[in-house]
Amino acid sequence: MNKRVIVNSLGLVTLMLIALALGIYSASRQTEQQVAVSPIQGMLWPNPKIIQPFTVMDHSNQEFGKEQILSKWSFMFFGYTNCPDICPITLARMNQVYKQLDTEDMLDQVQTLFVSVDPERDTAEKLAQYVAYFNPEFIGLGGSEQQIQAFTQQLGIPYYINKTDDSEHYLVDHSGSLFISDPSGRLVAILSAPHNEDEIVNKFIQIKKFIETQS
Amino acid sequence: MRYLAIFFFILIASNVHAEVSVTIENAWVKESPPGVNVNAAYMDIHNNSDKDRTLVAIQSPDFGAIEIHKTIVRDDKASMQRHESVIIRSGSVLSLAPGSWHLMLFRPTQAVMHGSYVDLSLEFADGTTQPLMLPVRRAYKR
Repeated sequence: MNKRVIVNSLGLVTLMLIALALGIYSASRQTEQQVAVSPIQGMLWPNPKIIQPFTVMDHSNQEFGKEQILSKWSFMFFGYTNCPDICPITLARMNQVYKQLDTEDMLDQVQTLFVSVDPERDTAEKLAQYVAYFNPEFIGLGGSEQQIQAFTQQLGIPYYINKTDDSEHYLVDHSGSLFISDPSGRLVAILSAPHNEDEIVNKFIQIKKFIETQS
Repeated sequence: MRYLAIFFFILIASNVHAEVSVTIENAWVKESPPGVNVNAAYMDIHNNSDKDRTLVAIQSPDFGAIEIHKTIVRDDKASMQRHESVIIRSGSVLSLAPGSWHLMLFRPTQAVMHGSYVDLSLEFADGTTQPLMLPVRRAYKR
């Protein structure tokens, strides 16, 4: 009886020591990985979100989906045209970002998508007029309620339509962040408001360089 | 009697001084893109008096309705909170600026374009008013 107890105990202790060793080794590997792969604030790394196929409508009333976000870096902002403050300010800043990216010769690699979360009021014509005001290259995206809901839910983007009796002037709560996807169609960064054009440019260049070194 | 007259004169004169002790700086209206009929007005409201002033309404012949709003960004969500009034504490300045407090201007009666002007009148709880003429500007140079 004693011999068996001793052998079992020794076996148990050995197993525990092996488990401890493995645990420490795994933890030390993880620590190394964390230091290496989350260098830029706002980056979703090492687990960027792969954007699944989707369909919305662009401001020319053409379908816009995953193929249109492949091969380009996309800046996405979710708002609505009747937003008097944060939406026009952000798009005006993005126009300033474009001026800086132009000096870096990066303009042909990027696109800016203004996605309306107010499908009732934001028709394609309205979106076309709206985005062109800030920059003729910007793309307005809209569509049916279902299309917008599907796209925003996929990316985890909140919005809330505050309908009151005065239905003409209702406000919409929406994300204040800028979402960046890469040419592989992955959501790679979320930049929180308040935005500053120099910061957007610097972060984007860092993010682009980092991801290009990964492939 | 003379001293009474002087006393009342000084009292009235000092009240007149209190009415102009709200000064407005950096006032402007942001031009909106075509097809958008809501604008935002921004300004710094200085209360140089020794009394708190409460802004309760804004009138204008150029807009059907004007509301006081504040943009709040919390947990990634941007929302605009409507306020019936806002207090400007004695000796302080309330800054209406992009991303923060602003006046929302609804139902323009004419085109609100860069280079034009709009007439607004700020109304305070104590019955005083402050007429303003604000330039319309684009938020950024194109």
